[in-house]
Amino acid sequence: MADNSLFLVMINGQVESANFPLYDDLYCRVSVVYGADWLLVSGLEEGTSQITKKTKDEKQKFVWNFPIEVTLKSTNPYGWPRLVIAVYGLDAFGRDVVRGYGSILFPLIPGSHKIQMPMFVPESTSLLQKFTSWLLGTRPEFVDPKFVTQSDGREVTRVRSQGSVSVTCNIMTKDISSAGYVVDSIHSHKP
Amino acid sequence: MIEVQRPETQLSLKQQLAQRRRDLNVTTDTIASEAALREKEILEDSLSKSRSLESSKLVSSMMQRRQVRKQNLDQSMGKSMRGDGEIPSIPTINVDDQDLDKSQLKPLSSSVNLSTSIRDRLKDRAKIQQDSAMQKEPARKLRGLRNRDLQTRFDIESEDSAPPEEKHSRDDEITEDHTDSTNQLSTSLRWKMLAKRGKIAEEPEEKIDEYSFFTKVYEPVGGHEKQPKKSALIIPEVDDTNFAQYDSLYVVTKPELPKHNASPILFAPTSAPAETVTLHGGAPCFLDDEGIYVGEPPGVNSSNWNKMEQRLIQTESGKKWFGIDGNMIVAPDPLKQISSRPMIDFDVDPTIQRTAKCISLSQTGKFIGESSVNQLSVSITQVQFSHHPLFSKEHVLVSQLRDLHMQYTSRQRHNLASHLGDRLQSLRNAVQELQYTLGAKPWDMSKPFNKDCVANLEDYSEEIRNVREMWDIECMKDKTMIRTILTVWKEIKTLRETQGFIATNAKILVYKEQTNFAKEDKEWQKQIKSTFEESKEEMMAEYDEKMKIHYNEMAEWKMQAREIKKRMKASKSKEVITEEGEEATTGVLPPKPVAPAKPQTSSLLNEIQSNAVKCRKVPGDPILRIELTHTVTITPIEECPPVEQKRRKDILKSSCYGKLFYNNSEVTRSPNINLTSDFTLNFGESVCLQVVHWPESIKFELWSISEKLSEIFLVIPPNDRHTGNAELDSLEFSSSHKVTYPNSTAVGSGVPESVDGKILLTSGKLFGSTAWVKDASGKILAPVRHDIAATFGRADPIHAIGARSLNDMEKVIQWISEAKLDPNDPRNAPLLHLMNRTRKDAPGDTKYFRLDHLEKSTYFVSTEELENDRRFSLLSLRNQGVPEYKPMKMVPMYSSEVTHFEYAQTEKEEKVSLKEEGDVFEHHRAAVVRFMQEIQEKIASRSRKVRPMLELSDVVVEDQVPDISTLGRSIAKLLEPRHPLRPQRKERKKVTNQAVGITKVDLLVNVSQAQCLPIRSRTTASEQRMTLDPNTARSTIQLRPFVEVTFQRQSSVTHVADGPNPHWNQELVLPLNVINNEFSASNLREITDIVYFNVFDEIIVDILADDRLRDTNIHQRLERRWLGSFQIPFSTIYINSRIEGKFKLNVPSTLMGYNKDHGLLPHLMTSDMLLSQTSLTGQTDKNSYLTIFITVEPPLAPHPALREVFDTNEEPRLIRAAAAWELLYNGEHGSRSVRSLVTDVNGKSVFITRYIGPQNPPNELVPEDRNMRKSLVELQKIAKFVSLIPYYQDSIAFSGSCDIWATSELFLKMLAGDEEEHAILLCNYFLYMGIDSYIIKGIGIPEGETCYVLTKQMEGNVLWNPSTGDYHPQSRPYHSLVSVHFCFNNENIWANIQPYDDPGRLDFNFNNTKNWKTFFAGKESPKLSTVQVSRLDYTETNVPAIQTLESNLEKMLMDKIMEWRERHVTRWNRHCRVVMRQLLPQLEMGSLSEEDQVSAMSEIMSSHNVTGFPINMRYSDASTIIETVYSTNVHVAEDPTVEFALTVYIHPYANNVLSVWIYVGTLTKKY
Repeated sequence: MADNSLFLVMINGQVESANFPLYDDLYCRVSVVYGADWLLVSGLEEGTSQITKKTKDEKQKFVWNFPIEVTLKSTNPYGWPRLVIAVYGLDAFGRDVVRGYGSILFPLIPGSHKIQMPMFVPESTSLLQKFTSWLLGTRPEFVDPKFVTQSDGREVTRVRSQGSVSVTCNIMTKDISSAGYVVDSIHSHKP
Repeated sequence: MIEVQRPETQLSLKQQLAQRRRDLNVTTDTIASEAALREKEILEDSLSKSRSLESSKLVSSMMQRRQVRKQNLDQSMGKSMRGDGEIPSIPTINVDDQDLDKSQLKPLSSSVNLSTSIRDRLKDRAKIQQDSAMQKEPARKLRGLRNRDLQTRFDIESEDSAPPEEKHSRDDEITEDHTDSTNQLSTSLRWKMLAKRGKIAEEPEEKIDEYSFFTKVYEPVGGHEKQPKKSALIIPEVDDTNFAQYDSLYVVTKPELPKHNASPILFAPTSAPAETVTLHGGAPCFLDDEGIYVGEPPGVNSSNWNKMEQRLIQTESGKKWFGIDGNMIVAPDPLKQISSRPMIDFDVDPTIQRTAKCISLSQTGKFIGESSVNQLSVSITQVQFSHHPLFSKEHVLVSQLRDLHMQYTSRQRHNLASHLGDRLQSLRNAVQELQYTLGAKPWDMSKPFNKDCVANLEDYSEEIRNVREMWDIECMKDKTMIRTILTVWKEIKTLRETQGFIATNAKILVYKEQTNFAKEDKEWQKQIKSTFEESKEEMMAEYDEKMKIHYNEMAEWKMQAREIKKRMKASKSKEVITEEGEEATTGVLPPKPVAPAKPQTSSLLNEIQSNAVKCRKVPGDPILRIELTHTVTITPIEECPPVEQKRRKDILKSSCYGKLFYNNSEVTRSPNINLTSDFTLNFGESVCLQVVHWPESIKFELWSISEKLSEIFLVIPPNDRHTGNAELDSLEFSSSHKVTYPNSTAVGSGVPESVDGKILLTSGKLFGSTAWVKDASGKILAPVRHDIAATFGRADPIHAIGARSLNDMEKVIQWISEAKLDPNDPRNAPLLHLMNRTRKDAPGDTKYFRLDHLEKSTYFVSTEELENDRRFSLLSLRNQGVPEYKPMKMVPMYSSEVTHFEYAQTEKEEKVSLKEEGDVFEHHRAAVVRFMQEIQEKIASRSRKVRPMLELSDVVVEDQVPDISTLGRSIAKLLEPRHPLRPQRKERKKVTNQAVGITKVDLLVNVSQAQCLPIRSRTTASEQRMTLDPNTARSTIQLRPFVEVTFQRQSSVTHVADGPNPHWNQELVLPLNVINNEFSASNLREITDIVYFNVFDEIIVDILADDRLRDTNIHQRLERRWLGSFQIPFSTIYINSRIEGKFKLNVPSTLMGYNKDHGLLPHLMTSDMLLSQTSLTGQTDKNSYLTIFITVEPPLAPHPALREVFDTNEEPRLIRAAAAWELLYNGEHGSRSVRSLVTDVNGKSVFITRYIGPQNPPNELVPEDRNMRKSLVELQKIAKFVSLIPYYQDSIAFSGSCDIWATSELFLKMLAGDEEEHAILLCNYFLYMGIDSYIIKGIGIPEGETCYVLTKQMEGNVLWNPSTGDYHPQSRPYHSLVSVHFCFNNENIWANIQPYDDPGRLDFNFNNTKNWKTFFAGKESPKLSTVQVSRLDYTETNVPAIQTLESNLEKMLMDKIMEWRERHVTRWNRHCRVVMRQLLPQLEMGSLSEEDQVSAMSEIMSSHNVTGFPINMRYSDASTIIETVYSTNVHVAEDPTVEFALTVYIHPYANNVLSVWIYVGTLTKKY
């Protein structure tokens, strides 16, 4: 396998901050999801940030500055890495509840990108359940946070948007153009 | 101020200067020369300065000012500029104006009487700026001016700086001074200048623009027509300096950048149209004029358009955005004008909703999809018979005459003869002319011109010949026509005379026209002559042609002749003897070709003349004109003979009526119309139809009183044909009905007519019209579809012909040809392509229509290439979820890197399995494996299609809202009696799906206790000596058992307990290893590993050699003796998620050194044990049991069960009943579930009872004696046979997705199957033996869901475990069957509705409906035919093959044991082996008691301590046997003196079912 051709994608960035009005004490779980033809070369696929409180100014931001740094090698752009962020927080009774799920495809174009990632949470199936879940602190959650990276089974869920997370990431690729893939916007315009 | 830059012309400064001078020269006539001089100086100064660095700032400021001014100008010009004014050209004019102004032209221009508000305003502003400008003046003074006397300059400024009122008044004064003529003079001057400038500029457009600027009539701003012109002229007069501070107020419109100027930052495009830019700078050309397709550009606001253009012009590279037509390149509007989908009007009146449904189909269906009124007007005016049964002979002739006359008139009208004659003449003239041009040397081919001429000439003569022939024919026809008319007429006349009355009024008049003979004769002669000439020429040409051929032939002939002569000479000289006959073979001279005869021209002339006489009018003959009139008086009826009278009466009597059909349904019928004497029916009927259906046919049927004469199809009117413009159609018809009128002059119809012997059929013409009605408002009430097709449908076939018609090739083609598609529109490309293709092909060749024929062109590689691509096939196999490829990661990037190994994995597997051990059984096994794979593939592909839909609970974790029942249950739980000493396991939460990040899964095994383990036999009392402590060696220490659990080659042991009924209560943890460490459901269910439980007896052997050290040293060896084992496949644990219970330990029938007769003291026996000791048959239960609990931690989600919805051949009624029955039962009884339909090998649902039916066991197992058949012993033999058939878990084979029920025949053929197959086969055998037997479906230990066989016998109910061959009476307390869900046999299914489900407590009386719910209630159970074959055929087992297998196995096992004992020497005791070998067949027969064994071994046992046991198992493959032997730990014998004995015996049953016996033992010498 060693002499096989492959390309490298390095993703280097951070989950900078989040905007969740009405909530406080949030932390996030970050994971990188990729396809079968991808292999993690270095870095951590998953990580959990610190719990942060929102800023006291009018911006009310949650700042994590949680770094993401992974290098992946691949033979196939199918299954391009995605970033999954699940934000959890403590509710009024100090119980851990989910505040948002979100997923983005890492940009294909090398360079620095700033991404605003809208978040959503699954809704309770009924009002009564909403009430009990509030009462018991057991909000509906996805069985697997990585569920948001796939399209199967989405039709059975009902979600509500809340908050957003801003992520910056820098993408570097190696050998991708020699493999015949053009991801560069500059090159792609050249005749 | 002077403009240095002139962007429009881009002239160099010098050129500008020169031009300026020229301008000035012109102006000097009227202006003071000193002013001009000054102007010149300033100009030159500024030029010199602008070259220097210092002045660059100045220049830029000048630039800015200029721009500002331009802006001002734009604004002041206002809207008048828009449309055509070219902005950059304005400043140029300003420059000129300014120059003129500066040169005291100002008074002239200002003399015009205009209340220039703009000007005033500007001036005011200028005044405001004056002071600052004055202050700045020194700073911006040009260097060249510094040393000069600035008087003149101040002069100007003072003029400007005069107070506005004053200035104004002065202006007015000037106005009075000057006349309008001066003004005009100035304008004319400017005109001249412009003309000059235009020449220099070399830009025609600019000239035009300038021109238009001046000539165009602008909207008056202040009401004065000339105002804009004036304002344009006047503004520049304000000094630039005064605008210095306005710079920031205006956004600069960027002109072309001067080279040395700083680039402006802002650019604001105006909405005025930009100048035309073409790519190559040439004049714009328009593509659509040249026939190239130019699509409709998308609609964009013109101002936006202009802005964009300006922006693009601004940049250099922007030019490429302009096409050669000078416009921006735009893609054509991609939107369709109309939607492809027909509009459905949803606002339908509810009362007619049903109709509305039909209407929605309208576009394609029969209905016209409009609520509007469609009216069709059909009018039938007249029917005219050309033949009628009541025709007399005269009528027949007259109608013939009428026809002829009609032909005659039409010929007259076309007059082909004279036309051809003219043509002939003109051709002849042309030939003459050509011959003239060719001159004297017409055949000189050297000149290409002549060559052409000759070719033309040939063409002409050819044509002349053709035309001449045609002319002759036509003339001939004309002549004969007249002749036939006259003959018919003569016939009529004679007929009238002979019959004595006149029946018709037809009459022929012949006009003769006298002609000039001399003239005609001349013409005639001329014709003859030219014809003769031509014919002669033709003949000559033909002759020449023939002669040429003749010459060639002659030359050839001569050659041949010469050769033959030569040969003859040679032969004669050489061989004189040669005979005549031989000479013939050498060659006879072929006959000499005959020269063609020269054409004779003498007879030609005569021929031509006679032909002319025959065809054409001879000169002098009168020209005949024939006219048909109806002027003859018909003989009145009274004077006619009676036959004629009868005919006429018949005419009066006969009448007809018509029926009108619309789309084959009768609409109306006319009243009876009487036939007139001239055989016409005057209908005069006009019908107006309100049309709902699309018109398909409009038919008119003509009926005589009783019979249908004919049916005539009327024209379906195109929808632009309305009542106003409809013409009368004449439609011919005929009828084949037969009518005769005897005793009358009527000729009848359809019968051979007497006159000519012809059969005359009733025929005629219908005059009528069809048209759409035009209503009062002038709207044509035609259905709308055609409108759409005509207007929009152009580009949309669906609209035009309806979606359904798209399949109809002909319709599509027709539409394409009618639609007049734009062939250049790329959207129409597929349709035109289609049309071309169908035109090329024979019609009807292609019966399909492809909309996506272009799809192929989108492929970037060919399909074959794609299929042959290794990488692609790998990827697609993985995507399909093919098991081998599914776990594949990092599929190489290029096909060349895909190794053969990866690609050909499947093939390799098969090869490997074939390579192994060439014996029959391995082959068979390989075949089975292949078969299984096939089925698996089938099922897998099926299940892939039926991909399970996720439910919300699979995706989202959400607390269930507690309802009353759950609440009640939890409350009830609180009140439940507690048993603190009997703790129960808490139910674990049901795991729905894989939680994230499971990194480690353990197998938790709680080994609780064992019962009835064999104890060390008393005969081995000699061992007592070896035990640890002789003092404490009590007889009570019978056993020191412990349990070893092995899973995936990892093992864990419990501590050692005491006695035959030990309690361990110990939890063992074994890690679970999964491929790729991925605990996904698909991965987990593929684990085929088995959990082995082995119970060992630990024996402590004291090996302390020196007794003296006993007080201080302990030197012992632990030995383990295998007592028994059992195994659970991991898949069972995974599917059931936990397994708990008392498992029967497989203890070998004889265990050397151990005794199953416990001889337990009664006080040690628990009550349970006492129960277990007794049984129905009074036998003691010698089985040992192990109680364990197994689960996995953390809990793994079981693989979701596939909802099996398969095809079926069953009756739908049965299927429905089954579904209802299952639903009814499954809800009620919790964990119990029933099934009535199962899946067979073909993936079809089969009713469960169909599997049951008596089937014959192998002959050797059926006792001869019928009475013996029902004995348990015989039945047990059969059960053993069944249990020996290898076991193959379906859920492993088919990935747990579904359970396949194979028929017994297939089961025996494959020799692989799970509980169902075993149970069915056993049950069928029992039925064959005449025993009432059923299959129980329930939960068993350890396999989970399982099948047992129940037999009802004299002794009572017996439960048979089909996969082990064990049987238990129902009354026994312990069963490996834990619960019974339902039972079935070949007749019915009974579901258990008793409160208990453990078999011990159940009542198996199926007639009791309180306990059993039957599927076929009552007695009405239909005898469903069985899927099983009634007679099973068994293959003879290959005995030699078995012997080789036997020896192979033995050798393999011995090798393995030696391999496992690699640190020790393994000695084999041959003597013991022989003894064992003898025992095994007897064991198989079951005729060997323990005592017999001991006695057989006694000889060896006298010298050795023997431990050992026989293992009996079915044969599936060698590795299983090896694994089993390994798990007994026989090889772990540390004693250095130990000897081993091993032997293998295979007992063959029918059909290659084998019973494998392995006797393995260790021997240690007795001291």
